Amino acid sequence: MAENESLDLGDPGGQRWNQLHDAVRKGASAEDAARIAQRKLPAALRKAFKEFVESGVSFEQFMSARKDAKALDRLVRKCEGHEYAHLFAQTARADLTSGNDELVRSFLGGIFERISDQISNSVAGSSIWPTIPKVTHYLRDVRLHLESDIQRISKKLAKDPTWNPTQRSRKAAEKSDDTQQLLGMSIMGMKKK
Amino acid sequence: MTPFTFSFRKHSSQSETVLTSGREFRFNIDEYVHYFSKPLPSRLVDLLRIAAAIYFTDRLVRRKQKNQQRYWSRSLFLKVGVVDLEFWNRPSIQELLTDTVEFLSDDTWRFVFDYDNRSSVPTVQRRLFEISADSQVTLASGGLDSAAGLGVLLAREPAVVRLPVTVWHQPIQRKVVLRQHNELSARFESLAEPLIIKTALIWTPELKHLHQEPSQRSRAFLFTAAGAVAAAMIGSTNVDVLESGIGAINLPLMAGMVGSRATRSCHPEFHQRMARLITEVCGYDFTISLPFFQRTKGEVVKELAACGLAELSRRTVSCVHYPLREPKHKQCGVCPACILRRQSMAVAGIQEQEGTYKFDLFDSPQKANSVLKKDRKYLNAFLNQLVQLTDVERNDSLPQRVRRHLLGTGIVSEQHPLEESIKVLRTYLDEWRVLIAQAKARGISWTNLVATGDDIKEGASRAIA
Repeated sequence: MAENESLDLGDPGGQRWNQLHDAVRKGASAEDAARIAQRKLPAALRKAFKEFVESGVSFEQFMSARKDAKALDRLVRKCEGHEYAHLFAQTARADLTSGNDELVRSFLGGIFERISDQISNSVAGSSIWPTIPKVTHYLRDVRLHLESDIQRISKKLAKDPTWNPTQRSRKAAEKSDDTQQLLGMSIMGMKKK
Repeated sequence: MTPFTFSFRKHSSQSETVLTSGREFRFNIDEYVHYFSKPLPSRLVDLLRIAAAIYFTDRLVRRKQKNQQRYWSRSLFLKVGVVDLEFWNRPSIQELLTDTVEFLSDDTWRFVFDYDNRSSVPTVQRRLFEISADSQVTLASGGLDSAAGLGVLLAREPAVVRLPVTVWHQPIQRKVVLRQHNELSARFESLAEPLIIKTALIWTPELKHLHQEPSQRSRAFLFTAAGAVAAAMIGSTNVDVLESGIGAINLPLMAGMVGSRATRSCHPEFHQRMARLITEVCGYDFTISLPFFQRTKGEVVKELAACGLAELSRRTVSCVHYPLREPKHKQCGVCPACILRRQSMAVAGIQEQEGTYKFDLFDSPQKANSVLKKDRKYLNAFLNQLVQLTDVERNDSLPQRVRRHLLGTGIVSEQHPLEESIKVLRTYLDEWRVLIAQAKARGISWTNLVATGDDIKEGASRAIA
């Protein structure tokens, strides 16, 4: 007979993702949801890294051990099986050949998947999200909107694993939004079809 | 019964809990002596003692339930009395042991051994026929996988003697296993009498203050050790674990179920590590096999039905909550084990008796549509997983979560190449498409979550690579 598996994974970083969850539940646009995620993701990472340090482990050590399965296992054990430690170790073991920035990008993608599944499980079947594919497509749009941030964080962490992840500055965010808007316009000043 | 003792404590705690067989728990190693009518070699005795100690410790130390992200893992210290102290104190053996059980349970384990040479001399001649080294030992829990797998293997190879081994750890389990055995042995002469080892805690005043840990992630160590010792006693070099490929892969129902949050009881990496340990214990190459890795559960049960053994499948139990404390229903129908069971029975075209499940998600629209949302959370997770799995259609767009699980946890190996896992996942996806379409045609409303079976074809079309 099978062992019991709980879907109750607890809240990663406490109440942090509830704001995103609420926004999706209420039918926020993918862009708006991504803006929330842009703030939450670096904060979630900071918290996880702080928890690693409390166990005597740094993210830098994880990056150094990325191609050494046994070393990764030891780090995960030292972090008391921390979810993000496991996630990093699995991501690293699954892809031994990609560059460090791609590895971190996949790791961040895994964090987002975890949130996405919890949100999907919660909202699917509601009047706004009647089907699972609908909410899945939406969450993938959120992920696309988040991509530039994920790339930013990945590149920085790959270059400097001691970096404490931060949000994009408001100026940079506005500049990026302006760029995004302009991309949607033709040279005649009209919205592209 | 020859007693043995172990003690455990949480790493941070000074207080130690001591348990002795016959007093705080039942695990009678002498069952092997009686069954095989010969004494066990020391290291096999030790392996069983260690395995039992791990199992009971796992059950008696709660994982922190709040904020499982960080505090799922425990740090455990275990002291066990062994006969071959020199062997178990070797650093290489300690490393193998901890690597294996830590992978399985996702805890940190520290072992200390002391000398205990108590052992038993056989007094009872029970076995009526020789079991040769060509015989195959299989683990038999009474669940659908092991019963169906055993039936199929017996039908495929009727000349091969099969020795089922059961670690009897749940109520009524022995009765279930013996009933299955009677049905199979009526048809197949090559089925040996099962070896059943009772395994239970005795709730003495010393233990009553401890709360049980329900996850029981390390129990597969005990089950596999039990099978391996039986195999070693007949000179066999292998144990068959009859889990399907879907069960062995056990793709997490939700991203975030990392480590042992999704059980690794039949994980190929666990089997490899366990096999290396048993090789050292036995002194010869030992293997643990998954003969149905390339099959879905549905395919195995379908083959069982084709052998005329559908009734055997109905006499099995899958529910994680079994037996429900209810007069009428003993299986819930909504836990992941029940859902997978129902899916596989549907694939095999096997109808079960009405009232088998407390909640019926699959057959009667009236009953299925009245199941509350809170009771459908596992079903929702299954459906979400199916939507995510649609990218498994093509190798070059394997979803990251699937890649991470298959490659990142060691499922893929020389023994089980990537293509094998992909194939079985694709078959599984196809099975669900058919089931969803049939349920939808009957008017079962949860199918609207995927609208049509085709939705789980389109769902992942814009996956981020």
